[in-house]
Parts: sequence; C-alpha cells; structure tokens
Amino acid sequence: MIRPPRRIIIHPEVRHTAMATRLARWADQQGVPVQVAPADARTTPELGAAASKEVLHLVRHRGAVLKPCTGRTDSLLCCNLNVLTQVVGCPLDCSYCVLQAYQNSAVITVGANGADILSRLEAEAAQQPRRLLRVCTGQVGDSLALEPELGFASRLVRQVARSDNLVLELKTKTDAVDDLLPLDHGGRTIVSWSLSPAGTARREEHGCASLDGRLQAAARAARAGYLVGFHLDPMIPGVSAEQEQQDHRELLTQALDAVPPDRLAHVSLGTVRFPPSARRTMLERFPDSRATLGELLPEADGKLRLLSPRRVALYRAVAAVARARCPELFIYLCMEPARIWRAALGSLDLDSNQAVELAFARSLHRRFGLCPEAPDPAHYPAE
Amino acid sequence: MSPVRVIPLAGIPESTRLSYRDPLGDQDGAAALRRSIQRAGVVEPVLLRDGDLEPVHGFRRLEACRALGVGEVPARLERRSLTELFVQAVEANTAQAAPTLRERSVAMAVAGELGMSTLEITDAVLPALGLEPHAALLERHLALLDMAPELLSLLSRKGFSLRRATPLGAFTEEEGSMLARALAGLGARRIEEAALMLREVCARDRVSLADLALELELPAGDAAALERLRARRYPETAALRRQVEARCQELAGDAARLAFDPNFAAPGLELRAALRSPRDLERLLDTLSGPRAQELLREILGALGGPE
Repeated sequence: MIRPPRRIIIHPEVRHTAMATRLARWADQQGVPVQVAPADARTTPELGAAASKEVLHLVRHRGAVLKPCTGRTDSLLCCNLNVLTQVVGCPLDCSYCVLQAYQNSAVITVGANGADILSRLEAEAAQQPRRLLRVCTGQVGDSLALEPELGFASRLVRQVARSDNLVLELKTKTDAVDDLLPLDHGGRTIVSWSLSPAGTARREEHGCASLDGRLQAAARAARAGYLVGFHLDPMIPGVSAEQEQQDHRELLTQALDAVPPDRLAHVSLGTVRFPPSARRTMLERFPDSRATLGELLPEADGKLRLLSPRRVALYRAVAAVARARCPELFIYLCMEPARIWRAALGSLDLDSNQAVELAFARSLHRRFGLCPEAPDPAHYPAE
Repeated sequence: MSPVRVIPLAGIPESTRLSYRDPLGDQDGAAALRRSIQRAGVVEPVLLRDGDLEPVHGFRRLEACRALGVGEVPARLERRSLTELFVQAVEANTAQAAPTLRERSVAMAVAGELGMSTLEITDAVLPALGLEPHAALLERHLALLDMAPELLSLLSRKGFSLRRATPLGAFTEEEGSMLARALAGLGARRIEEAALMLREVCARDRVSLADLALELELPAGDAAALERLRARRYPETAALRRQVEARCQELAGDAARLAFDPNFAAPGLELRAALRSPRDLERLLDTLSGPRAQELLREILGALGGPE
C-alpha cells in the first residue's frame, strides 16, 4: 500500500503551475495540509528523516532536464539511459534502496514546472534527431507511485507519443497503470516493473504492489498496447547459489507468462548492491531484511556486491530462460563491469556504453520500429 | 525418536566441534552434575550422530562421565544431517535455559562452520536460540565473536546484551569508554587490541567490529587469526581463494603473488618473472603456453567467473 502524502509544501515560485493546482485540489479533497513556503525543506528542522516518505516539496526543476544514469561511470558498462529526475525521493520503502544512503533531503522533491520540463525535453530530442533517445523516470523514485496526485507520467506519455526519436520508460513497483491505459501512447512508452520473488517482495519491498499485482498490471499495460520491460533487479542472494538461480528462473518464467513476447521490450538483470555506508542504515531500518546477507565484497565502483562468479552464474541461469522463451529479447545487465557482461551474457561485442546503447536501439528499431531509421553508429557518439 | 541404546564411552569421539555452551565450572553446577551421575547414572540420554557417533548434545554429561571414569552412557543415535541435529540440540538447550551472549555467538559460528549459509542460520539457528530471525542480529553476534574470547567472556559477565535494532558499534560512547578502560587494564595484548577496536568503533560509530578488524593491519602473529576471521565471515570467498591459490602455485610457484580480490575492486594477481635475457623471455612464453599452464589459466578464469 503506497503511503499517500501527509503534507505538501509548495514553493511560491511554482504555486500557479498546473501541477501545484492539481495537487492542491487533491490535497483539499483528502484533507492533507498544504503550505506555501519559500524555506528550503532540507533545512527545515521539524522535518526529520521519518517524514521523507510523506512530505512532497514542490519546487522549480532547474538544470539539465536529462541526466546520465548513475551507472555511466568508468568502471561499469551502461546502456546510456537518460534520466529525467522530475521527482527525487520515493513513497515506497524498499529495504535495499540506495536512496537511504544518498538522499540528502528529508522530503520528496517534485519539479512542478511540468510544461517547462516537457518543452526542454522536446528541445533535447530535437538536437539529436537521428539518435533514439531512451528516457526514463523512476531512477531516484518510482515513475507511477505519485501518479494519482501529480499526473506527470500521463503528460510525458502523450508528449513522447508525438516524438520521432524519444522512447519513454516508466519504471515502477506499483500496479498503478490504470490512468495510463486509455492514453494515446503511440507505442513509444515502455512500462517496466522491477520484480522479485513473491517472498522477497513481501519482506523487502514495503509499500509496493505484490508480485501478482505487478504482473497483472503488466498484462493490462500490454493489452493496452504498451511495451513492457522487466527488471530482475536487485536479485537478492538466496540460501544457496542453486536456490537463488531456481527462484529467479521461476520468477522470470512467471513474468514471461504474463506478457506476450511481442510486447516485451527488454529484460534487465542486476544483483543487490549498495555502498558500504548504507549497510548500517539498512540493518537498522530493516532488521529482517536479507539484502545484507551473503558474502558482499566491494566491486570496482566501491559498492558491495556478491562474489563475481556467483553473480555470473545467476545471470547465466536467468538469461538462459529468457533466451529460450524469446530469442529476440534484448537482455542486459545493470551496474555491472564489462568483464561480467562478457562472462554472463557472452556479449563480446558489447564493450562500451555506446555499443550497448546502439544494440538496444537496434533491437527497438528492428522489433518495434521505434526509430526513424536503422540506428547508425555515427549518431551514437561515445560520451 | 530413535530408541535409547547404551554406548561404550570409549567409542564416542572426543569431538567438541558442536559444543557451544559455556564451560561449566564447579560453582556453576559441574560438581552437582558429577554427584548426580554417581548417584543415579546418566538419566537423560546424550545425542550422537548415527555412524561415526559424533556427539551432538550432552557434552557436559560426556565430560562428567569421562571425569568419573564411567564406562557406558545411554544415547540416542540419529541419522539426520549434522546441521539438523545441531539445530535440534540448540532448541533443546534453549528450552531448558536461555543461552548466554557468548553461547549465542558461538552457536552461530558453529553453524557457519558446519556449512550453513547466513540465510540458513538466520532462518533456523536464530529461532532455535530464542531470537527473532533477523539478519542484523546474526551480524552483531558474529561481530561479537570476532572479538578476543576474553572480551566476549567479559561482556557476558558484565551483563551486556544485544538489543534489537541497536548496532554492536553503538554501545553508547560512555559504555564503550568504560569497557575499553576496564579491558585495557587487564593487560593482555589481544584484549588491548580488542579494547582499541571497541573504542574506535564507539568513537567513529560507523562500521561493524568485524569490518573494522579486517581493516586493521594486525601484527604478523595475528595474520593467521585474521585469516580464520575472514574464512568464517566469508567462507565462499575463502574457498575460492584456496582454489585459485593452488592453481597459481602450480602455475608459477613463488613467482605468483596473489592479492586476492574476487571482485577485482583492486589489482588481484601478480606474476613476477625475472627477465635477464631473451632466453628468459622464451622460457616464460614456453611455460605459459604449455598445455598444463593453459589449462590452469582457464581454470583460474573459470573459478573467477570468466567467460564460458
């Protein structure tokens, strides 16, 4: 059950935006207090960490509208997804969430200048017309958890539908897709779900929809013509390597049963990872979590991860299920170095971010026609 | 439940690897136990694994019988796995008396040494010890065990207990300082180290004690202890290290130095060769391109999760 906002702070700069007006109307109906205040919420003393899931702070979104994924580092191979950080913070409460370590704000920050954000997105896309720009929300939040209150995902879907070279990915652990179903999405939006085995979802992913709920929502989205993606990420170690492989093979089989292959855009795989400094917060906030168990050692980026041989074995086992069911499916790893990609997926040609982005674009072009022309390396420059 | 049989004491191995309870001094009841056995014999059968007769439950009774020169003891012989039997023994002990802090920590370590994964320990051993199956508790108990035995014993005697959702490193600063002073006063070097570690933890209030211990550069004499600590906390990693080390040794003998890092967060394998002439280089190439060397290199790569 998603915790609805219990308090809303609107910066005077954005009080007359469509989003602030919509939210104020919703708050009035729900009896949620709204405060128009210029104060920076991060320094407002009465807002402790406990409030971070329940307070929305509407501000003007400034700076670049698209940011590189946090996986785009020297030590990891990344698919070059572009992240639209209109919302920073999340009302869901997953035990393994790295936001616990990173987030320096005691509230959920919402960029309320939606029209401005959308026009800047359009301008970004126009600058690279022959490059398929994959854009997601939900990297530092959940794309749909606040949709009833904010309605921004729907606006994005409609805008991207009119674009020639944008693909939108809405990443969620909710089942809140019903507002999206009637929209004209133009086949350019991928609604993707992070999936965990049912027991893991119950224990670790607080406030999220159940596994069944997510898969049923995925099926509804697919029936409405949306593309669907699945992220088996983070996979949490099981009692043994064999057990975790079996659990995740079964999970993917369930997911592939829920959505027809011709609607499935991608499957990504990743294992639990977090900076060492987050471990203590996780243990304190979620003493029954399994996310910190297992032999987690630093990887090249300094985050703790399972031993590389165990990760490789897990990825191979799960990828084999996906390949057997849908050979055309684009399978990729998240936040892993190139050597793990090579070992796990045998993707010897995927040796740079550019190569991965290009392969992804080619898959979307070949399978779903999502590019004005066949992706050409010349239009996918190395960053 | 299997029937009770009478087993000659001489046929029971003196293994204590499943023993986790605090030693019983005469003041604590050892003398009373011996008197009871002298008077009425062993009333409650001990539990042994069928086959090799490894003791699982009843270590204090066996010790008392040995001290008294008793020839035979009643025993149940069970065929189940050692881990199942161990959990059963822990449940039986906990039903009689709440385990002490040290007993809880040692029980978890014993389970680890039996090959139980952290998840299995959390699910099975913690409830058997009367604890909630929370990973954080396991973490803290294992961290406690990483301290010098003297420190652990002192903690037990002083009545320190682990509180749910209170990290080990978060004894209050006052508690930590008091404890550290008391320990430093005892003089033993390991205790001083442990006290130093504890003080550091309390002051810095950040990582678990075990992590801190791994960060310390211990004197050479403690390297073996540190290795044991690593092996207990990271058994999968330790096994992998042994595999790779053996192959490196066969491949290059002393020329290979392994700074083992299975996730390659830091440089891992270093191969040193003295190349004084072109001939040396040829010999090196011959060595590394030979079939056995190639096989070993492939095995190392495979063990470290290399390409298929």
